[in-house]
Amino acid sequence: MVRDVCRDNFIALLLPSVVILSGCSPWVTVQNSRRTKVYACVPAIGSYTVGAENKTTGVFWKYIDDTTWNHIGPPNLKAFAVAPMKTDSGDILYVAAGNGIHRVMNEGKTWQQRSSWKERDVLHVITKGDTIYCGTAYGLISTLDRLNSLEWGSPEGEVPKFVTGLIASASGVLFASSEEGVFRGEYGYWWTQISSIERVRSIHETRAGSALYIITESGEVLASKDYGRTWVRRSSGLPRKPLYAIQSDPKNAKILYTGGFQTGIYCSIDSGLSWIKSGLQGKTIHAITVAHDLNSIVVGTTGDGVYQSDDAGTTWRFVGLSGANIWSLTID
Amino acid sequence: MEICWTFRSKYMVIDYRLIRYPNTAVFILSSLIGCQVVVSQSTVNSLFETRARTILAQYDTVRSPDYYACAVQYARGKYIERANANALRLLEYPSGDVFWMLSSMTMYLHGKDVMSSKVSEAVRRAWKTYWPYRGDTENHWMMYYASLFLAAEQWPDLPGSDWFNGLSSEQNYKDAKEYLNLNLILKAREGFVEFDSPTYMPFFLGAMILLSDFSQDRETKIRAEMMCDLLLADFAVNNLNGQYAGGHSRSTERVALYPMEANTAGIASLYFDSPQVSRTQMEVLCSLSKYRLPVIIYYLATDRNRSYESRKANMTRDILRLKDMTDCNCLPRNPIIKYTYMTSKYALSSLKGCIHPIQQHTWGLNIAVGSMAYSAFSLHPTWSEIELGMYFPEETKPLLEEVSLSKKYYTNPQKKIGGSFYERVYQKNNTLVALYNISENDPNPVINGYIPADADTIIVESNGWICLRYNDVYLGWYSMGPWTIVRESTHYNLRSNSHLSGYVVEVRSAQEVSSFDSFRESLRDRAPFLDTSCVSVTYMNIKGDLIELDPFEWNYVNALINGQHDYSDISRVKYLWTGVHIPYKDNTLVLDFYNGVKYEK
Repeated sequence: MVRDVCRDNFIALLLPSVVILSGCSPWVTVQNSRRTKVYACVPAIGSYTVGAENKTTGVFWKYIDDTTWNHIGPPNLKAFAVAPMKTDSGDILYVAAGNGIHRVMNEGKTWQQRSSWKERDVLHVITKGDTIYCGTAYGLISTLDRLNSLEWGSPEGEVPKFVTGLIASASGVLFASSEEGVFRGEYGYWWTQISSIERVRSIHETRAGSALYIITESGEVLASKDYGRTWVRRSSGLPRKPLYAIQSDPKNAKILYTGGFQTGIYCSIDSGLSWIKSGLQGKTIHAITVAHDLNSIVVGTTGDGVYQSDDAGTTWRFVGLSGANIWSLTID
Repeated sequence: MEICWTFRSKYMVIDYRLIRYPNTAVFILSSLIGCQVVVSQSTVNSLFETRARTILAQYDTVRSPDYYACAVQYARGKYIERANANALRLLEYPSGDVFWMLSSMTMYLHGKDVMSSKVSEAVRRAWKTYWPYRGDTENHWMMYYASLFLAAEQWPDLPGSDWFNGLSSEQNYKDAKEYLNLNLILKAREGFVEFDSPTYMPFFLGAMILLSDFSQDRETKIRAEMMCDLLLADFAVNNLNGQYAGGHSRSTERVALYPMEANTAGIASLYFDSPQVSRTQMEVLCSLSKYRLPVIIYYLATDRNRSYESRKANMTRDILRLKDMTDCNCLPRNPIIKYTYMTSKYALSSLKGCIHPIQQHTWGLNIAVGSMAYSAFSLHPTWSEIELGMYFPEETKPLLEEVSLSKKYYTNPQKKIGGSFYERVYQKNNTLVALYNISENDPNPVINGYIPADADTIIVESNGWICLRYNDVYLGWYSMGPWTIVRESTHYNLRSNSHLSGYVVEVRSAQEVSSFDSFRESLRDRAPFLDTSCVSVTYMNIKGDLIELDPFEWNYVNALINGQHDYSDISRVKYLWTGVHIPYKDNTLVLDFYNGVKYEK
């Protein structure tokens, strides 16, 4: 009965606090939604041919308790990631795309290219203070002035070449995953390779910074509790297929979700010591995000749009962007 | 006596070799309308202008909305009202990304003095509101930045709010100018990425033509003009009566089988006076242009009185990752060397080095007999997530499906284009060896050799050679493993299902051997030997050269010719770059991209 209620967003909105049985977490609390936004970056829907009549791609958003997606910006953008930033003068959204970096203001009405011809295949973007960091298929770039100029700098040291993941750690440093391993950036400027594990697909840190996780093309999950110095395998129960996304529950760092090439969603309630299937069987998962204040998990697939679970992974429902390749999902 | 046409580049020496003629100011060409014609620059211009007028006349009366038709109607002052109406319809819903940029800017620049103010305003509005995607290939970027540069020149001093991308006129101008000038120099020095593409070269050329016509910046204008020269010189040296002889970075299945269906065939008909065909609207853009082909390049394209070799160095797309997971032992900057042996009747051409993803045409025999064009080639029709992952940023596993959606042939076991990590080709003049050592894990471990079916004579010799006669061109084809033959429409498919096999190809024309029978006779005692234990080939060709190959030892093929290493196709020394030198007889066209100077000496 409670589950039925939680599947219904509208009724869930009316409930200030409901306790439900979850697929992965024994008990979790659903709180009233504050109209949390989720952004989906879509580089392609089906095939994408430059100059052709492609289906609308780019940046979409919806309220997490709604199913209506809104599109902002150019309809032909190969968008890969967004990074929201709160400023005194209003919200800014930075967008990483195949054709560079964009800055979006005025709720999507003002859209500016903020990179030059040199920047391409920008796959990741994060903000830290006033600095914007981007991971591209060619390396890392950063700027120091909120992109008021088109000039980007390249960091120094042992710098990753093909960046597959980029996070700002609670510890104050940056971490990047890449085809060549894992890298750590002090002040975002001086980088050191801390692991040579090959073909890392993504990197994630639990909310409190208690653990780092990486996932690999060979289907491994590895965890580190010493900021990347040592890694232990946490892959029991996972298929040996490439993994593309991993996320932890913001409220319970032991709960993890992962997925990848034709894997569906897998869930762990013991910090990755063991994994169980959690739905979306056979689908290729490329993005997972978990809402802070809800039990909503939003999952982006390759070729199948977006799915959402409002009961911590027990049940899933399709929430739109049919046929889309979802590269990333970001909660604002 | 030979001269060597040399492009001095950082990594390569690129030779266009031709037989030197007696020192004379005029040249006798026999390819023009069946009689000998004295050709000068003014003659070349006149031939072009005649063709151009024919093309433009076809667009005078086009009634349907089309940017290039509007451009023609504006430029020639005909049907202006119709052009205005059509332009407004087109600009209501702009689409087409970089192709739109080039076409809308072509129309604007050719028509801005005569178009209505409504159209002029609509063009400006479209450049404010429609955001074309920049694309991800060389021709896309050239169209994007050339058009953007010209637009920024036309509308200076506008704030970012008046441009689709939020950048001011000044910022767009600076960005586009930097891209264009740096990259035109780079491509002249180190080669093209989409080199010798019969499909995409016209779009690169179109962008440069427009830039050379309308750029107000002298430096950019002259570099664009020189790039037109270079693109057309690259084509000219491999032009076989309109066919782009290849080895190509990017082709199509149709063009692999039917070379005169290439987009470049239209460009050849316009500039090289080859059979008139119309392929793309880039011919319209060229026809409207003030650019004129230097006579030296015209000679390159048409003088086939003697056979010659040419070598060109270009490069692949950027290799982003996974280089170590392949046999693709690329040198820095990922060079690909194209070697061509050109005669008046046929061209045999091949690529060595890194592979270009998805659409590579690794080697080809082009035959021109009368009005007929034939093509023969072989390939390992494979596909690989590693190949895609090397060049594209998306995840490798899903890429296979994604690419197959837009390029359905990519995973087709019978496809006609595409390179393979397990393919090595060695060519010496008109002898070619294509060897395939295919991994056990390959999804499609077969080799297909395509031979035009409408030969006058086909004889399977007892020693294994298949001898074919196409009028006065003779083809010998030897399979180094078991094979079956299947007729596929216009071609025979000589198919091998062996993991280790290959073909040896010999080509001659009636000018080179006395008869088809003597060609057959010369192959009678010549069986190539494939040593499967060490994957090496030993073969003495018709000319009498002993060719020994260990092709899988090194990507560029370790070749011994009569016991001597053949390094002619590979990097030998890093030369100081002195610009592009395009000599013909006693004249040399020098394209100095660094200093933005073009001159003849």
